[in-house]
Amino acid sequence: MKKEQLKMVRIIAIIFSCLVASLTLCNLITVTTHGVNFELPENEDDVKIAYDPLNNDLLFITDFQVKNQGTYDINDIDIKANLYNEKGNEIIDFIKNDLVVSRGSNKNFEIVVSLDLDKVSLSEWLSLIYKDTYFKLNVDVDATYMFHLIDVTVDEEIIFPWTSPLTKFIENNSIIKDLISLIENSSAKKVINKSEDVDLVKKLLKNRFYEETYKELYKLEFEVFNISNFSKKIITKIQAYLPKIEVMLNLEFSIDIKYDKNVIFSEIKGVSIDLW
Amino acid sequence: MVENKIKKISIKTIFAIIFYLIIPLFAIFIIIISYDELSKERFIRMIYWIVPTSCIIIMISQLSLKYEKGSLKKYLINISYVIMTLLWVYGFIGGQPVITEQWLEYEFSLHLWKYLSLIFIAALINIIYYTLEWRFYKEEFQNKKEENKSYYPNYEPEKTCL
Repeated sequence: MKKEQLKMVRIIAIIFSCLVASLTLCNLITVTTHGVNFELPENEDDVKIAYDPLNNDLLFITDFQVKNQGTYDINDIDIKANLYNEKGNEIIDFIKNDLVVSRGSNKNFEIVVSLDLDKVSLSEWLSLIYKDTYFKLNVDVDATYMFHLIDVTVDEEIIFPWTSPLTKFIENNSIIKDLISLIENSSAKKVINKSEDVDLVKKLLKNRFYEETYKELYKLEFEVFNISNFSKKIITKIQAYLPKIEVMLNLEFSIDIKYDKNVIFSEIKGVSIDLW
Repeated sequence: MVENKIKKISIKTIFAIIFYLIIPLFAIFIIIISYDELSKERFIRMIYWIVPTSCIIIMISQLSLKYEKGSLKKYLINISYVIMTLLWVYGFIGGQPVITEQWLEYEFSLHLWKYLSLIFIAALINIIYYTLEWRFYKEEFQNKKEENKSYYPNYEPEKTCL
């Protein structure tokens, strides 16, 4: 071996050592100062659920941010999100591949996990509609950093409670609330001329609801029995159109009607609403 | 006739002091004062690792000057220098091939296997070089030693003092 060749090996060794040394320093500062950072949804509040009526999809929307203040690009970011039901069965598998975050930038990635309601099995759909359960969103991120020399992985599991839309519908829907308050307000003794339609409830409901029903996602229709007796317990059905399914609700209340010299005194009480 | 060279401190030692001790300690110090939210424990642990290993590296670099190229002692010192730098890097990156970073309520992991492979390759190239250097100068060193022994029976190849 010649001296020049030995010198060449020496130069290569020095270059390699310097390369490793500089990578070590740059990497340490970047990583330890959180210059490279993944911000994932922390809890159920960060996951929004929406319904897409056009495609009949239920959407689970969340996002995560990749902060890259390091000296290298973050490449090959693969996001995997799986949604499991309460039994641990996977119902949605979401994958996004080859995302890149350039050095010195922060990027927000939206995760929209879409559950096609036309494809979901009936049992799953029913459990979605009727049961208060929980879902597990597993966000698995794989990325590479520093010329593919470092693999960055994030594996987070977010468990969020799932409230049956039906329960939500009953508890939070403004129409239902209005309906209950309307009937309850009517429970104060009211004077109505006999000549008027005795189908009091129908009238009350109709006037109020046919204006507002179609503004909401859920459509309501009412079928109210005629009231002809002095005192009657009324059970009426409400048809609620939730995504993919028509739900029947029971609206139950009592109405006391008293005739006194061609005047009707009506009193409504005991209003309740539940699943049919 | 061989000159008895006396060097105070070698370039290799100066490089070791700057690179293995001053720069990392300075970087850690800057990080600690700039980022209050970070756990200081980790950096203190790092300092406990860096200071002794870098001191050994500095001593080895200085010691290697004492021996001539081609001598077995110099070769072994150079190899131990490479091993010590490996240990230094190992401690510097956290002492494990997977670094788990905690940020708020979630964590992410950095897998350094490929990066560590690069470090091992660099170490291997250095070991190859030192081996080649030893073999290349071995004969020359032996001849010089024989020659000097005949002239100066009590000859010692080189002396260096700190």
